[in-house]
Amino acid sequence: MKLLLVEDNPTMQTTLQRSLSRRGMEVAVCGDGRLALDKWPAFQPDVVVLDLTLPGLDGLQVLQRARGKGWATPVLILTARGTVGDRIIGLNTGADDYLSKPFDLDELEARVRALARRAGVRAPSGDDPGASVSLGNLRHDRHSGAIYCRDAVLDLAPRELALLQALMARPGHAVSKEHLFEQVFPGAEDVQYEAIEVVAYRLRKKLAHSGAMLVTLRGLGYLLKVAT
Amino acid sequence: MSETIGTVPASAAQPAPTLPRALSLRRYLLLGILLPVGLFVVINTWSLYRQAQIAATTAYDRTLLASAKSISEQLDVEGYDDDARLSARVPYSALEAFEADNQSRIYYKVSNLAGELVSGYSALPRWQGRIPDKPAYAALVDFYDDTYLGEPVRVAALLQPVTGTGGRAMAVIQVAETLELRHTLARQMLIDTLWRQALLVGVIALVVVVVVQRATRPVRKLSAELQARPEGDLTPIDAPEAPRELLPLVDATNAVMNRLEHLLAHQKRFVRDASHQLRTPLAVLKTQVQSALRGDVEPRQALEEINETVDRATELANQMLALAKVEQLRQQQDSGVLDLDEAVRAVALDLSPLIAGKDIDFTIETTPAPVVAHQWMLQELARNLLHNAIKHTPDGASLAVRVVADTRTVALTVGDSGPGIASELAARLFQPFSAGDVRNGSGLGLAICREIAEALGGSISLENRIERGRTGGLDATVRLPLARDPGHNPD
Repeated sequence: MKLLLVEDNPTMQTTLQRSLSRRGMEVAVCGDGRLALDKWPAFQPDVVVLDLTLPGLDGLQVLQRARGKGWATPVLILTARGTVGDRIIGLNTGADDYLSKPFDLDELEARVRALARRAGVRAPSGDDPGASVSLGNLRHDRHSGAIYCRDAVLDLAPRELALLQALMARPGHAVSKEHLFEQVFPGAEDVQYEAIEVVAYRLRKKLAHSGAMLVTLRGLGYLLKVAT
Repeated sequence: MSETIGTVPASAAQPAPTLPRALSLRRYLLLGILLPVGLFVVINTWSLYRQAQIAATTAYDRTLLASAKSISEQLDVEGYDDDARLSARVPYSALEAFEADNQSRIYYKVSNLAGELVSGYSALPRWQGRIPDKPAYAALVDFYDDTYLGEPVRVAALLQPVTGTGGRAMAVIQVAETLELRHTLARQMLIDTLWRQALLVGVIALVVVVVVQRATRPVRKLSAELQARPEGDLTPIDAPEAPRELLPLVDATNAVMNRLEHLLAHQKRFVRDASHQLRTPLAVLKTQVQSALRGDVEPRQALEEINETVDRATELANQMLALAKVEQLRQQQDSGVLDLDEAVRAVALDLSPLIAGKDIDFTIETTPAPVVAHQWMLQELARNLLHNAIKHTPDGASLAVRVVADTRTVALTVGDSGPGIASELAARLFQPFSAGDVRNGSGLGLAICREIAEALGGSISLENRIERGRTGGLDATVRLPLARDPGHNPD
């Protein structure tokens, strides 16, 4: 996967290039807006990571000109300016994603890969980090939808599976009970909200030795976390 | 970050954009006084001129009549009424008096009632007037304008009964005079009048200019003084000689400058505190790095500690930006109606990993609560309150969030089960970088909450929750006005 990194801070440039290269990306760097417009068509990147404050041309101008020339490469904007206004301008100018500095390196990598995936760049087989999610001893295979506990398929009723799948979509994060209800009882009209509690109660018991724990945030929803 | 924080105070110090030039008070007064006066003078001149003309006409008409009478005295008659024969012995000297100045010429004509010429200039047009049948008259006089030999003339026509030794008849004596003399007189009168009025206007204009100039001098003096001030001089204007009408303006200006000075002082203090606060994590970082370089700790542990320090510095920077942004959004006024309860729930979902990480016994109860606000403000408000509460709640203890609305206001209460606060600290906690908060966080969270609550027309309070005689935790409550539903409100 080819990444063009347009960033003028030399330390940031070096560090990012090193880290992303180590994670299997082919990274070209550029510290100037005008040069970036030369390098873009020459390098043919799969994703462009673009800083907003640049010498020569600023990031938004670079983006505007690139889109004006019809270059459709996905662009992730990177900036210290975190205001709403900049964000809207960035996305309106044709950016595909936005990350404000300082950011988490893992987050940057995940977003760049997501952009590449959306643009149809194939990851090396077996190395797709989006294909399965693990938590405790649980593993959720996103292709088959099955959930394994220590490599054995977990024995769950369909509603329990639906609930667990919805929670495994964002492990560690709470999911609202309204959203869970839609996932567990799709299209249901005569079912009461409290029914979800019954499903959660049963699921909680079945997760007893899975290394994962179902946490209730009363009035808000549920989340799945590593059992302590 | 410096971009956003830097622009806020800078914009306040910049001069106002140039507006289209306002109406000058001086010009306003000059035009306002001179235009009506000028108009009045024109009308007055015209009417004076007219009156003088009428007066002159009357006077000249009288002399015309006098000569007509003197002619009539030179008439003889023989026979009565229709058979009467008039004869005239008009000496031309009778008319000499009028021709003395040689400007106007005098013509006369005597005829009988039937219009037959008795004496004089036959070409003088006949008198066209009608003799009234009744009542009986002794003599009639009529003045009118006519043309003779292509020249405009003023005519006096006298109907004079003439009685002689052998008869009695009516004679029509017309005396016509060309208008040169009258015109000359009228012109002279006009010029006289114009001169006097022009002088009047001139004097008024001069007085107005001088008075206006003098009256506006304090304004100009004051402006010059303010212009000449060094940048940043916000001391009150001292203008003892300013007229009473200017005092409200001076007072208002002083009030604004006073506020500006406070704001500036506040900003300066904030920048000073902020730099200090930013230097602290940098110092910590430096120590951590040096300690790691010397091999005091394992690299991995050192890096993890450094990461935490960086996170704290980042949080601080973000909070400072947030505080600046509240101010920025407050001036934008582009808010809509949003649900506070939904914002709080969204934030709680966002922070759920922190809540779960401390095994907090979490409860949230909300009712629909529409408020007029900016999305970001509501979320930032909820995020700071919840973040604080999570921070102060011990592992495994409870945290309750409630959104309760009555008819006019909504109260968002976030209750932790921490140690509470000392009452003397409660007010100070809302100040940026207040002592009680700094060690645990950025020291800006509550300041941001208060700024937002006030920007949305609400208030914030902190209160220890007493449970069974001792402090069970701290309740942070934000009260906001509910958005008025236009459908439910007749007014």
